[in-house]
Amino acid sequence: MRKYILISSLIILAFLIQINIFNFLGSFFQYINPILITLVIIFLFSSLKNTVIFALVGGFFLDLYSVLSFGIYSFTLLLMILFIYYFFQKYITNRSFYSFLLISVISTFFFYFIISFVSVLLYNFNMAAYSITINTNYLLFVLGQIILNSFVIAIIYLLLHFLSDRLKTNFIIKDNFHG
Amino acid sequence: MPNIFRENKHIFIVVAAVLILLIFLHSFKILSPIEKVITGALKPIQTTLSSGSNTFKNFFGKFSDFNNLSDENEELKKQIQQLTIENSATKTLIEENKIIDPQIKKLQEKNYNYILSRVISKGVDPTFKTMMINQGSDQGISVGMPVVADEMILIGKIIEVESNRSQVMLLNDTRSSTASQIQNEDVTMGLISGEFGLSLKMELILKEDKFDIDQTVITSGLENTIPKGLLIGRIESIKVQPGEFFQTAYIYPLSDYEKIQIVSVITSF
Repeated sequence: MRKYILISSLIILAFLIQINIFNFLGSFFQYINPILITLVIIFLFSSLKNTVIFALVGGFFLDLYSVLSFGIYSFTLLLMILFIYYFFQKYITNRSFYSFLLISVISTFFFYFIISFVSVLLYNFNMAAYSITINTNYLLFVLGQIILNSFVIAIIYLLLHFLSDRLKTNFIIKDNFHG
Repeated sequence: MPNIFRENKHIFIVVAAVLILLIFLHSFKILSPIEKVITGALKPIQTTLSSGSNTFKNFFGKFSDFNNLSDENEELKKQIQQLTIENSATKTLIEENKIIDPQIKKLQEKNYNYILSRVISKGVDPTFKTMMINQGSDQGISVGMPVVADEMILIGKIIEVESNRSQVMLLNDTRSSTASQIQNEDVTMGLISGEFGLSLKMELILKEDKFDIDQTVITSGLENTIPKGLLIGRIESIKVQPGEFFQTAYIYPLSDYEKIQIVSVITSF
């Protein structure tokens, strides 16, 4: 239970950093998505069940403050987790630096792809008052997010690699294995 | 993909049910008391973080402009002197009063009813230019009301209202549109909207209308909820395309939307 409270607090902190600090600091910081980064880190270190719960918590907070239809962020984050879980299971075999980078690129791309798609769809079916406008600026914004999110995740990976043994490669030595 | 569904069937069913339930409860306002508690609890943290971020940005923003380095040096010296005299709490109050006083004065001169609000956060949606303020329907705010900052400069409109907070769409959002007029002899009318979230543009201006750069743009009063004469900005450039019926004016906003901390919502006029 303590773990859930701790990670939920982390998600809320990421949310507050995103809307109350980065959004105020200017365009450069707007290219960093702390909630997405936190979720990717949780995904890589925790179970699917935990990641899904925290995606729902993060999505709920984003939905509360969004002008888009309620539920769109929760839905997008959940779908994104499902997709990267599938991708991770199918194509990635270890928790290396490059798999971290690949997952961060894919998750950011998929997050914006699905949110734009759902937003435009709801708007065209008159189910939402506003929609994301997809134009060159938006695509550049997504590209910027992919680059900066991956950069931040790379730094976090290197820090974690330095501080924890969980990311270091371990070999089972045959002699030791048999005692 | 189907294997993943099968393996984690229970998780997906529970999560989908929770999500549908949340959307349902939100749509029928059943979730409102919980939302109110959550947003109410976050409000003081958000207000502190937002004003802290603004102060941080204002402070470090000065370093980027090397052209005015000597002026800034003088300014910084003055600031250091000031900071040694005042403590931070008093300074915040003084700064806020500087913003609020002229705003209230102007609103009272015009006899407008207004609600003073504090900006608690920027919008979460990328590419949207919105901000959240700490007053809502409980205080009498409703959708469409104009939001002014500084000395009664229109910065946006209310687009979403909850009991204790409201969402403001800023004029520089591409989805926003406001009936406006230029203060020239022809009383040129047009529609102001955002230009890539950065500046403003005034469209649907008749081609034969004559106006100049630096002329002031105000609200035209054609919208029921927005009074005539609220300041918007100054004309920065004019674009006339051959073969088109209308011309476009690019507007420099009179208020810096990124630094706004205190606003007033005009409830009636």
